Amino acid sequence: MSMLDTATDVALLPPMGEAVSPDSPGAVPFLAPFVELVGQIAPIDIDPAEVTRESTLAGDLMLDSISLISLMALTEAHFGVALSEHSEAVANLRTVGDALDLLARLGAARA
Amino acid sequence: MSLDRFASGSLDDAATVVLDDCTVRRLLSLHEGCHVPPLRARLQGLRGGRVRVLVDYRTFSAFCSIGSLAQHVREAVDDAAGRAVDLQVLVLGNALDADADADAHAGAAGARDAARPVAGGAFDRLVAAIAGLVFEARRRDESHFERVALTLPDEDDGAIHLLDAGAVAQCLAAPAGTLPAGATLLYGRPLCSRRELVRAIAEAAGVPVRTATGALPMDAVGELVRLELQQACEREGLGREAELVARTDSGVALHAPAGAVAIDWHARVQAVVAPLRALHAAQQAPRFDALPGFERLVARDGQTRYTRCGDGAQALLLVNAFGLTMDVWHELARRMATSVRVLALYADPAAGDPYYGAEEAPARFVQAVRAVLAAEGLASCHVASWCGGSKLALELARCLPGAVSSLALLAPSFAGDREPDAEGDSTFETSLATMCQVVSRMPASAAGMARSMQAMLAKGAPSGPAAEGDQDGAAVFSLHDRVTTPWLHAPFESAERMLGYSRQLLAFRAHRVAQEEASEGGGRALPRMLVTGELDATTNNRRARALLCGSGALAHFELQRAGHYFIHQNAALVAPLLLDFLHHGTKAEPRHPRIRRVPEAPEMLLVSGEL
Repeated sequence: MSMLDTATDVALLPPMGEAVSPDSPGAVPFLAPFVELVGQIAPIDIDPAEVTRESTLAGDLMLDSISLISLMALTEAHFGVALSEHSEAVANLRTVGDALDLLARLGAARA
Repeated sequence: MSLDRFASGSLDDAATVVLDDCTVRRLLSLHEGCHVPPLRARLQGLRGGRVRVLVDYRTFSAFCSIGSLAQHVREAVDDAAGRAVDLQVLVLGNALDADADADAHAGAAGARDAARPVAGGAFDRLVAAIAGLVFEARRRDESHFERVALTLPDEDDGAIHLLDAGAVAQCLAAPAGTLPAGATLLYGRPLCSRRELVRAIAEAAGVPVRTATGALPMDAVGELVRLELQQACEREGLGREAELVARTDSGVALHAPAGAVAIDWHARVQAVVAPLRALHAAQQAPRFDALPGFERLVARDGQTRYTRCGDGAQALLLVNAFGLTMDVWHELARRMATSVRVLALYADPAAGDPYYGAEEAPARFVQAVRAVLAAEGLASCHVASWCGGSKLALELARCLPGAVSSLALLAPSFAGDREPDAEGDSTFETSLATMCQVVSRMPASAAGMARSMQAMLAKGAPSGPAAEGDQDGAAVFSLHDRVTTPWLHAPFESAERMLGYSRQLLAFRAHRVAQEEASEGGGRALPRMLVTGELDATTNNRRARALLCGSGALAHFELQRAGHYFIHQNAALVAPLLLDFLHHGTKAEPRHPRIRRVPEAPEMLLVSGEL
């Protein structure tokens, strides 16, 4: 059953465009907040401790194309990047690591 | 009447009497086999000589044997003539060649596809049906057959048999002793093998073919072609069914009239397939407002806007999925409008979408339908919904029980409904709900998300090329076709549209139609039909069935090799079923091998079987 069957499910969102600081030193940059966003979207319960850079978006996290669009919208708002202008790159994302790398690139470009 | 050309003879000495479908049914319904007015009228003046009665095997084969039919005829003819008559019953075991009456058996074959440019008889209709399957696959994936060539029927899969009308006429004109008294079956010689026919159709359609092997068995389209061949040959009288039955009946003589059937079957195949190929090449998205006789009307309340086409005494109200154009109904509505008045609400520019576009949408919808019925002078109408129209259709039946004659739920979605024992949303429904929630919470993201959806749909996902490992090509039937895709884009053409669509979807999901509600207000007597597509991954078919089974009689049919958009993609299959349902309620029967009736309670049958 979806985690998002009520109108209040998608609630943990910061203001639009407000950038979030990378994770603590030593951690995979952006991983924790990104996994939190995945948890809001995925049709299955996600254990953040089990999500790694190698986790696949479609296979492990059960995200289909439409879920990915939702995830990207949340990610844009959370990290303050403009993913919708990179739809080709988004469409080719396969793993969590791919998504984090894209975020890092866009974040660096923005900086 | 197709066989009337053979009716002849002077009533003073001999006569050939043709029995049409109606007379045969009347004959068989009489226990004594007497008093059939057409026969009586035809034979009353007969003073002597032989009477030949000509009858088509397909008019009675479902009800009785050739011998039994002959006995009924004997009794009726003797009664009509007032004495024992020298009688010969000639049964046509096969269809006549193409120039014979093209529509002779339209009734037996179910509703015809008026769009098919087929002018000939049984053979042409068979060719059109096979070619239709080929183009159905190509509409979904133009390059499908380049990956999965069409498998030909086996060499020993049978042949196409036709009777030459001239040869039949010669039989009837022959001296009395040429054929024996009693019952004789006239059957046709092979025109071509089924394999040769499919090869010729494929060639005319520009499709590669192959032979099935152990390593590479029959492909999915080829399997449907084989099914269609079998069923169409029986339906149209192009096989050996009558001949094989007659061979087991010692009281029936068999006769194959001399001479080959005088048609160039290769040329007929070309003549039938070429326009279908041209239609396929030129096909554009059909428009609902281009339906014959289409009218936009306003009810007497001055607010309710609706459309009408067809002018039958019975009316069918279409309840569409919110947010999508009525164009998706075009193919089905066109076929239905030849028999019933087809009505639909359409968007009021001021009030927006007639379904979930306003506050208190269900109540407004019910009120609008009441206004339409009043405007049309109708006490009631049949209702057919598709996808997200299902909840409003049930709401209508609950609120206006006397105004709904029957309820057909086509690929219904009950997304958001959470019955204790029912299954949840499909993956697609879940993802779409998530997306609409995000849009609703973050309206500023709508433009970007709309662009992403457009890009995703343009790329082909989720209905992209057939998946790897799909060796038999069955996945092609789960794809959208090129006409469907633009309709899917519509809700995402702009940020404004996406916001509106998201609002409607969330309102739809919040609309609860409980089982108890659906069965109230006389609902138990309401004929209801559920039609689902075997490959429909958009909705949860099992949940729909579970929700509907608990509240009264339900006929459930499943379309094999069909997806969510079957009201458009397989309208030629759905229309006859829907018409049959309007006439016969839950006793409707599928007339095509791709439609199967899902047993009422398969779980119970399984338990019984185990016991």
